[in-house]
Amino acid sequence: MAGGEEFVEADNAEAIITRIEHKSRKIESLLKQSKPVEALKTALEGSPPKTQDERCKVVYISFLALFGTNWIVVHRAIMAIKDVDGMFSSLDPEYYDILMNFCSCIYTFVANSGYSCFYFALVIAWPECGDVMRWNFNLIRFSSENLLAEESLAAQDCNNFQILSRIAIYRYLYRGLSTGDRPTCDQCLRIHDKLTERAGLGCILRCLADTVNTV
Amino acid sequence: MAAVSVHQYAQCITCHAWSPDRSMVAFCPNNNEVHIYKQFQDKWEKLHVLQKHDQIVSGIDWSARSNRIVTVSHDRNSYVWNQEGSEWVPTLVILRLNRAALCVQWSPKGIFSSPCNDNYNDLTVVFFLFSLFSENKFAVGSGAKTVCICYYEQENNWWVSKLIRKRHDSSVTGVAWHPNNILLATTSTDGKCRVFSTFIKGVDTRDSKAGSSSETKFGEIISKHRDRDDFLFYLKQQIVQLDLTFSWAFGVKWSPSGNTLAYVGHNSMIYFVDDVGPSPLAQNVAFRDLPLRDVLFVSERMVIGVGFDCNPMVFAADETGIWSFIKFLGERKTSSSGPKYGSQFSEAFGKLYGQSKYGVSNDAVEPSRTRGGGVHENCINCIVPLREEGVSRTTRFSTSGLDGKIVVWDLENQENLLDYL
Repeated sequence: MAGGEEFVEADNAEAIITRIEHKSRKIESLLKQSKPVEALKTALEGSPPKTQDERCKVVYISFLALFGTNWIVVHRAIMAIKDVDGMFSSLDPEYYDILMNFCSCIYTFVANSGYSCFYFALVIAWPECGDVMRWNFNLIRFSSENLLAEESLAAQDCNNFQILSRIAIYRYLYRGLSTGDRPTCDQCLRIHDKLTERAGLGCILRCLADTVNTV
Repeated sequence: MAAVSVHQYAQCITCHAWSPDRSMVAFCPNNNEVHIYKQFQDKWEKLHVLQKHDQIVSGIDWSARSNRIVTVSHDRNSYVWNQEGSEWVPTLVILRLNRAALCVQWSPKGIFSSPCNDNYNDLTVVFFLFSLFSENKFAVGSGAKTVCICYYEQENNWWVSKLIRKRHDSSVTGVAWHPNNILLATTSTDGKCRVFSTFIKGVDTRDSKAGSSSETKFGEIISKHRDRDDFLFYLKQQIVQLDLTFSWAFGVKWSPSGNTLAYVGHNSMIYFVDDVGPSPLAQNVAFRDLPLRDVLFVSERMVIGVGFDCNPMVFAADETGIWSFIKFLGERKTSSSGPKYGSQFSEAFGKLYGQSKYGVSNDAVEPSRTRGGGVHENCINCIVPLREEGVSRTTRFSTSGLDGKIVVWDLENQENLLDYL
């Protein structure tokens, strides 16, 4: 994406913001053209060849800009996704690595910012991402010896990431069902069905038990 | 098959406990009585019925050394039962509660675990001799947001209850003694797990092994810890308060060495805490099924959890100390998840309908749906180890639940789990 070339020095905060604005405009237009997969790809690619951390931050922030933190925007994102499985299958495996790189710092962000819509969008699009990330991390964990302690921590984070993200989805689904609006309920029930298959009843309980993080 | 014996004793069992030689079992059949059964050859026969409580008995513990039974009940009282001849003689323990007592546990050992020091007078020597091999305290959790630590006072010949007040914000659902006989862990429906010092002057000796923990006063929590937001803080008076779950907490237990603490939340999570003290290390493990009610450490690295899923779950720690769900202990029918959830829904619907039709109000007695065809047919709410004398590891334990069965499980023939024992 264009952002990569424009952007050489990442230290400049203003430059980051400008780039994110540019990027999020593009993403938003893609979303308007009902190309949610393209939007996700745009968000993931073209990150500057800086440190992982930097790249994660950028994508994270652009996701925040894209989906916002309020219900209305998330609602739009839900309705934009027509085919849950299809969306996942059209995402190339090359993005797995980028996604994998996010999770450790995403977790930190999430811890700081509460449950963000970032995961929501990501995991709706790709419910296995938690599993894949964890799997990847386990690979790293077994292959590299010097980073063993750090990586095992990261694997734990991925696990948490997966749990938290699924809870977040349930939260939004129940919020959607509470609207009573027929198309919204239809879509929410469809996702609910798939998610319960993957995440189990325990996840519903965790969502219901959580009184602090509400939508 | 992991379940070695299954016996239906009643319609519903609230709690159970085994005699020290495991030839007898005491349980409450969901009423104000405690039934004691003994095994004669292959048959279990009812030997005694302990009738003294007025309401449901919520906790039973049978001391391993002194052969005493302690029972607590919703009637707010506790009785210590001593066997004299063929009779069980009750002694009332006035707990001074204004709400139901919910759980009880004998302390793990008497005061004679430590060598005598010079700070005793003649009276304490008598007391020492009396409690040489017996458990000297028991702890009662209650709905009055208090924990009672009860100990026997030789000079007055009665059991005295000391209360830990104003520490819990809600009912105390579980109590667990640390092997050092001083520390007590509690879980509460306010979602927190706390660790207290129960050092009582004249009852406990200042044991050098207990170290700094015996220096803290009665009712003091040892250090404070908060991890929900990756955020820790400690209080000056050293208090452990584990604030990991947003929901009710149940079933706290210490590992055999006392280094690890495990408890469960009502949000389908289990929590493991290492290095309980000023800087505890917490791990959360979420699982995909219904929440747990009670846990049991069978070794330092393996925990069995029982609960609403009607099937014991095995959790174990790998070499790096990271805990994870391993498997269900009972066999489960493998069915695709889609229709499973569908049938559950229709079953629940039918149950609701049947209830309104026949006016069945007691959910507990009604056999619940069997989740995947396990041994238990309803929620398991009690798990008790069956320890052999002189054998350090536990491979056998028993579970009881709302279906009225007591099931004995053996891990010996579970090859894939033996590594963790």
